[in-house]
Amino acid sequence: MRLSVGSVGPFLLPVALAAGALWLGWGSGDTGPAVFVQDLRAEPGVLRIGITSNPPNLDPVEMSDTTSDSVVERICNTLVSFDEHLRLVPSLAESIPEVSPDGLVYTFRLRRGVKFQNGRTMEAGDVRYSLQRLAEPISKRFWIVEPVRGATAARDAMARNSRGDPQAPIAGIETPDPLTVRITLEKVQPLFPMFLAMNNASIVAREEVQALGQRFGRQVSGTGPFRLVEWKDNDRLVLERFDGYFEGPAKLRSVVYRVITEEETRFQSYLNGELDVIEAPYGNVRRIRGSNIGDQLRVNPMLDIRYHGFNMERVLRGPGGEVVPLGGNPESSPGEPVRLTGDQRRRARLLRQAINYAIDREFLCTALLEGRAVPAKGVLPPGMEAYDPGLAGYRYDPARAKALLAEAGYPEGRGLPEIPYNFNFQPPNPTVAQAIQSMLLRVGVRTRLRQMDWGAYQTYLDEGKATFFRLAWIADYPDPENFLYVLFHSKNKGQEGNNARFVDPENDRLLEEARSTVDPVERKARWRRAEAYIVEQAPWAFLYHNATALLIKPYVKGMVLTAMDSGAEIQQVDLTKVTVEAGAR
Amino acid sequence: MGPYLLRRLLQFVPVLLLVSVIVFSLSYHMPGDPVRLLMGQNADPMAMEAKRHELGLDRPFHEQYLSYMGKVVLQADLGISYAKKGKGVRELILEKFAVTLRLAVLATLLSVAAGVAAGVLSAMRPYSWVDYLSILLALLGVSMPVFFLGFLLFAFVAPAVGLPVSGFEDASLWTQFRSLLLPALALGALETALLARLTRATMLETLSQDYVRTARAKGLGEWPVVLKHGLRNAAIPIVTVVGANLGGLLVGAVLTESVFALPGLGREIVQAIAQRDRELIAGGVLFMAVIFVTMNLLVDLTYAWFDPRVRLDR
Repeated sequence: MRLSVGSVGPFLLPVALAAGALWLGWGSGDTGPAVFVQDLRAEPGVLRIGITSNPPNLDPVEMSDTTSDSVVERICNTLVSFDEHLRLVPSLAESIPEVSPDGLVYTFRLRRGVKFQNGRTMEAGDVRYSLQRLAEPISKRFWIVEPVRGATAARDAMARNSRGDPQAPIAGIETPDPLTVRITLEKVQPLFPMFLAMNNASIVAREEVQALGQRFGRQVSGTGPFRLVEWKDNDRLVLERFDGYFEGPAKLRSVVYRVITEEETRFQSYLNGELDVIEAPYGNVRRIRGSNIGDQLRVNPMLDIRYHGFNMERVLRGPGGEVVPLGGNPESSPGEPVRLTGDQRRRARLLRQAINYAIDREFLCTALLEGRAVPAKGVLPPGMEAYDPGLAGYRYDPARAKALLAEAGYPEGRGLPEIPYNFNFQPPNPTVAQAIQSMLLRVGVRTRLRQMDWGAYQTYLDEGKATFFRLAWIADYPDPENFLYVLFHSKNKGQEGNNARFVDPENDRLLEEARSTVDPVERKARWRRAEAYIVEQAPWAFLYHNATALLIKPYVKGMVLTAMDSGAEIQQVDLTKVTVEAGAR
Repeated sequence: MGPYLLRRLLQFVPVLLLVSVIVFSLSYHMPGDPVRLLMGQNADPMAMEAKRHELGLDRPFHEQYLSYMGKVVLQADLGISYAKKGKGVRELILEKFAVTLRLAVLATLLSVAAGVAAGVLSAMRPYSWVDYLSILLALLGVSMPVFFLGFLLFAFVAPAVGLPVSGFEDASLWTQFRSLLLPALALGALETALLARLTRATMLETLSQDYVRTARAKGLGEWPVVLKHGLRNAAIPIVTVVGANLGGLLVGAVLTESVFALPGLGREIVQAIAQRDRELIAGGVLFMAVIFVTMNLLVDLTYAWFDPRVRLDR
């Protein structure tokens, strides 16, 4: 059948309109600076933050994620905390603790007249109760109080209780009077006050915890500047100003966290005036920077590391079932134990080093991540004490990668089976994984991508099933110990932090030496030595240090970001100083 | 009507039983330990075993299933979510379903209004530009995935008319309507298209009947003929399709809820899967199955009410 203009005429107008609309929408990014239509009307006194997931649990001792941490930061206080320069400053304590000459006894003097949100005055007994909760079975951060004398005994005594009721006392925590807390350690741990700045060590009212039981995780309260008034799962959390806050009421009337999983929806909600702070959408940072909302973009370097770990307990199998070593632990493949010879371990290390040389980190940081990351030479991020700018690390060198691969016994990748490559599907992980897969293929290393949702992925990692896997680490406190000791000491193997399951006596020795050194100069040198050893052994492919890229509306004032703020959660930002003024369209 | 109703109700029971077995079985075998969630990772293994015994989680599958179903049937008790620190599953489902129900009802109202109107106009002027436009829009509605339509609404409609693009505000009826309008448009697009095509076809057939010609011959105006004699007689299949689709919209709004960040039941269950919240997954899927099967039953009964031949169907 021949089509005449007349027969298709009625279709032309709507088709043309639809095509025009799509062309306008898609074309704007390529033809010049993007122009976003935006609504700048603020809700004065209310800060609306777009977050990506529902906080699982707001009980300070049970939480282990940044979203929960950021909400608890507003509701509770700790004895000490970090200021905007990440220096330790007093919070519920009147001053930084006094330390005994032997470094074992810390004495905290508490502020007078601090009120809980239920109206009662906080006392030393609340501090003891809250810190002892860290030794209860539900606690995910026992290690905070582990250095305290009697903490392990208290933990063991409480292991039989459902939720630490009755609570067993920790002998090393004493309260000589209602405004003094004395904490005695088993052995010297210079970082102990920093541990107490973590929100897991928040001070809560005993009667609230006991009345609510496990529901305390949904109705948390403390001494902080805001109190939780509404929590609709997977929708929003609403915090209101607590006027009895000991440092004076916050300037904001309310903080609203909106849970929006879809990145594009979050971005459109921001443009449409429904949110004031979001994380900039991946893949759009360059476009936003050059656009009419470019001045709302804040790129803030973080104390973090993004890496791909090798499971040091696993070996690969060739087509005939022969062992192809990838992990370097002497005992590999739990469930099907293989004892690797010295030569096999050497070949495994060469293979891991080859993979490190095959990755073009500059490309990842500049092209894929649009300049919001810097290549990692090792583990410690720039800005962290003991960061070593002279560390050689692994620069992109495909020729070297091929040579190492050949030396390991796999010239051009021959004889090397496909490596299972695991990651969770949040952006930008799939894009990064595809790029790395292609980089590895160029030197002859074949990988098979396996994408999982975060819940399944966490379980998979915890069970030690992943062979080559994506992960990230963001500082809990600004000290190399939080990276090197937590992530690589054999004591922390598995979900405690050492997900690569790296077991190496020499490494443990170097880490323990550095950790127990008090002299700052010597300590720094020892951390550097330990890091260099880890880089040489390559239990990870070291990738990059990320920066948080946020979009913040111009009418939001007083927001000072720190290097420990990740994503829109901005958990370290002091929101009591932030204001939201009436904006204009 | 009585025997037909009884027969349909008897069919209802085995379907739900089968669904409940499948759902419970899936949640039973899901990775994760509720006792560990409750007591913590450092809990003593013996204390955990005692708690497991106390909660009946050490009993065989069939005993746990019967106990669960007993509570569901006799007390409408769907248990508590351990992942949400003891929040009641029924309370959570009802809270989220309230949003989904409003969304589905608004989407249905909008699609009936637009779809039937477009179908009637097309049937009144077949092969005119109105008809072609209606067919084209119907084609777009059928072909366009909800996430794509959602993003078009975000980009072009929301800023122009000042509507929110995400979340649900339940302060007043007006704010609820504003929150749900764009998602309802996206969710109802497919149904609008289907209804437009169905109404057009049915109306064309009805308007060619002798009694319509007689009505016109009696001198009745075009609109009374179309609405009173045409649409009323064409309504039976339309009502059936609307009823069946409402069931689908109630349980199938997951994508719309995700795109518009609406706190509805579909999105909640998807999040529950990611969070390994097995009690909520089991309760939520069972609840959705009951809604879907009930809606189908109601549609069948309505159809049987309109058309007695259906009741004779063996």
